[in-house]
Amino acid sequence: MNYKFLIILAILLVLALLIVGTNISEKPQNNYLRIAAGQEIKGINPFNPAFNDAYSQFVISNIWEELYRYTPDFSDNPSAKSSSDRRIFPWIAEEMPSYKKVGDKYEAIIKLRDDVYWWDGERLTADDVVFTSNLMLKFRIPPQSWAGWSITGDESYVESVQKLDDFTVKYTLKELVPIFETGALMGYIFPKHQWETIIEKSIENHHKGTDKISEDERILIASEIWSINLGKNIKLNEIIGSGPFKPADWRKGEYIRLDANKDYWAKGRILEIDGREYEIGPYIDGILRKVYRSPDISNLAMKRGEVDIAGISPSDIPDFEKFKTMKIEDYTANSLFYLGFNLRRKPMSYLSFRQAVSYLYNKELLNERIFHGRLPPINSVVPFVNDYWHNSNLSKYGRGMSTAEREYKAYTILKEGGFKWSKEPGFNIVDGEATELIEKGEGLIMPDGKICPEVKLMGARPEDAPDSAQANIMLQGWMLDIGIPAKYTPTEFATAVDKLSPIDGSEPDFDINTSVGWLTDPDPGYIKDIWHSTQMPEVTAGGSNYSGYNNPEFDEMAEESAREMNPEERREMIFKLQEMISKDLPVYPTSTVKRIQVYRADKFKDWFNRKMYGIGGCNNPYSYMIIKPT
Amino acid sequence: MGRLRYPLRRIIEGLITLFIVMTIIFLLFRVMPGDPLSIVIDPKMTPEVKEMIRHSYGLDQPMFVQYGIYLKNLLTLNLGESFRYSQPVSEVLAAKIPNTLLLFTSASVLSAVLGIILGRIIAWRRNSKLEYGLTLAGLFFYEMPIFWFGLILIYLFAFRLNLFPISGMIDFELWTLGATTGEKIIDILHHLILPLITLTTASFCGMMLLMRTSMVETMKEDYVEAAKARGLPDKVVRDSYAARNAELPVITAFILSLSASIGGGVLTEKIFSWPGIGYELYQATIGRDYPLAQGCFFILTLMTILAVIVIDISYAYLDPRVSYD
Repeated sequence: MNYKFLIILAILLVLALLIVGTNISEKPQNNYLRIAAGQEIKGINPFNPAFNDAYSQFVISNIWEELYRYTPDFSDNPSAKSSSDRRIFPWIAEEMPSYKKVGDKYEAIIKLRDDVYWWDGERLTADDVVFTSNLMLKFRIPPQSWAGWSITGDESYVESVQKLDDFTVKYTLKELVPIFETGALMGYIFPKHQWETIIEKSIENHHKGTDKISEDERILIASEIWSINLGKNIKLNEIIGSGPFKPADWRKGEYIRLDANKDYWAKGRILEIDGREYEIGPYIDGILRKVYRSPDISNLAMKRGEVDIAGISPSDIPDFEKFKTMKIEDYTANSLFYLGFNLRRKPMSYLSFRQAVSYLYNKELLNERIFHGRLPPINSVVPFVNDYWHNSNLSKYGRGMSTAEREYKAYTILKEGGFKWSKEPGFNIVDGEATELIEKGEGLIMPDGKICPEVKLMGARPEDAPDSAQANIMLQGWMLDIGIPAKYTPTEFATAVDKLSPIDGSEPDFDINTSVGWLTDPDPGYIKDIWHSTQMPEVTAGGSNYSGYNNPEFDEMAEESAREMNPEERREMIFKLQEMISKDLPVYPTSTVKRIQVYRADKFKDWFNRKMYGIGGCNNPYSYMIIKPT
Repeated sequence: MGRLRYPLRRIIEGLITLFIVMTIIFLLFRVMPGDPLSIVIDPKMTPEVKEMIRHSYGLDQPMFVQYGIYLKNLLTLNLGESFRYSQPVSEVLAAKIPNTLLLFTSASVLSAVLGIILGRIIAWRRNSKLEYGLTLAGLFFYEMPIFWFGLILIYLFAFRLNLFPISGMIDFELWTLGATTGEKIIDILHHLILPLITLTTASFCGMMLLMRTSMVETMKEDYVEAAKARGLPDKVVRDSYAARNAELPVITAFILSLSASIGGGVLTEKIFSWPGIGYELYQATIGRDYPLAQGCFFILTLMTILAVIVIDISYAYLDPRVSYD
């Protein structure tokens, strides 16, 4: 063999060994929590609407804080007697808001804590709250607190905000609505002394003359503010927040490091969670969030001890159970998946058809066989995990029935609804119960005498979500069994969104949709936002009522519920709204999502598994401020 | 004068090609279904806010206006602002291109060196066990799924034997909590080894077979036979007579692979969590981040056109038989 080649190979080998041999330097001893993340964060500018993903929000939510929050364990707060949701409790605020009716308007008085400090040592005062609120009122910049956007728009219920003293703020409201508490008061507060100059400069750049800021100018100002690159235009160590962790080092595509705020204003404050008291830290040195683009690799990193917490899938559980140093926790997310029917088209416009399909969809079987317990079945558009608003007395649509029983029930419903067949499906009936389908139905005829057209099941593509595709194929099979001409149509996600909610304001183009789900808020206001008739895409371009549900009774109650401040009465309305959807079936709720996390119990203790959100992430800000190194 | 006219003509042709490719890319993205701002717009935002965002990105403009802005920006090398990151595309690319170049260009160079050396050897030893063995091994590695091979290497050498890092380009703990420049360089090299082995193993075969075929053809030439007849040593005949001429097509393939290396590789970057441009291009395309995807394609097209021009021009200098006069 050529000696030069051998020499090159030898040099490469020696080089490799040298590198391996000299590496790795001793890592400094530390108590950083190392998190395995699936994606990198997009950015940390809190005003940028693109940064609404959970990854970016994880960092943002550790920097800025809200006036009010939901209690850590979503238990009732005894002092929230006059609030629209008893689970709300003050964070930066000192106490719950007090309301007063003045003429045809309302005044909300918010008292702030006087011990909250920004990272640069300045005190957080009413000036900051007024500045932040005005920023949204004047420029309608979509803030990144997921509910906070509700303060924006022409229909805003907030008229003005003013400072009464250094620690008291008054909001004047056109009407008193629950979203004021769960939206506006849960938005992040920003330091006036950092952002005011930036915004004034932007106004100077884009606002000409002395008149009121025009719509075009407002857009230019807002987009300039959300384009500010935090980490570059404002360096990481210059960002001013009030939260428990400060961004310290960010290498894009690799990791971000947050350092503990050793002077955190809430340090020492007691949090009561599930009957146990926790003293707020933070006790760890900080958080290191590293990107692993493949779950297989993040699993290996977890096992090798490169990271301390990671998300895993159900099939990984037995593998991780072998590690005594690790603990596995799961939680059910507040997610909502459903079959969406296009009520504008036949046969979906027939209630009996929608009921029949709902009976056919055996979500219990699918969860067990296809999704391996990952998608627990739900019966309401408010998932059961949000028990404060969940109505558990809704139709279960065939729960506990066998496939043959479901198919027989669906056939009966269609028959009673006026559907006919050229050849009816045949069942083996024993003691009045269907035990087996013995002959498939054919030639379904609708109550209007016309032949039932092909019903397209628009669902995820097998390459994107193989298990969902399998579920669609099974539903297609069950529908074909009783003679419904169903066809699973794999559709890429963006195409599906385009068909469901065309941006040009035209009618949605689908029959049955199985590809879209929502991560819902703890507040059920989303029911109105999604299914109110004004949200049909042909009425409001980009609206979310894809099904075209148009029920005046529903609309009226949804509007009323959005104004009702008494939680008990509001709950009744929300329950009724869930009933209406369950009865009218514009959508058939199918499942929520169960997520599993594994963490190093030998390194950190006092983890808190928050209902709906798990032991970490952007919606559980509490875990990281209370965990302690062992 | 003739030698100058040809490069000039090739550069003009290259610019026309670039214009056509970029126009096709612009149109392709616009006919793709789906709203590009779906990654930005939260369905729960009010229609007014949604419209405001659409306006701020210029997506409410007619397509020909968007095309005009696009061409104007290309001429001024302004690649626009990424929807996903709300950052200039040039900044996003600038952060990722060096990482990609480090891994993929090193792999291209290594593959070419290995391919040329091994191709030369097996051509010289035709019908030997060495030729069969190397060809078979090369084809096996060439055809194997790269993610599978990468996973096996990670499992064996990183997870089981603990010799290399599992993924990424750097040790985040070491870097962020204090390391000297020397330690950082060694750390990057340490992280580079497994993905580099994966890529090189998967791609050297193409170069090796090309070199072998070219060499076999060259070895039939009269001047090689004449050199042998003159009693020159085998090594001299092989390296100085046969191999030098046989290397021309291999150099073409190598320059093209170098230009393509800037595009990185989605699977390798995903498995090794390598922060490169390939995965970014994939994400930008499926996420309809027009500016970022267009920016990536612009760089790729430009590099490919440049490479072709360089190859064409260099041929005139490398091979005296080629003349552009």
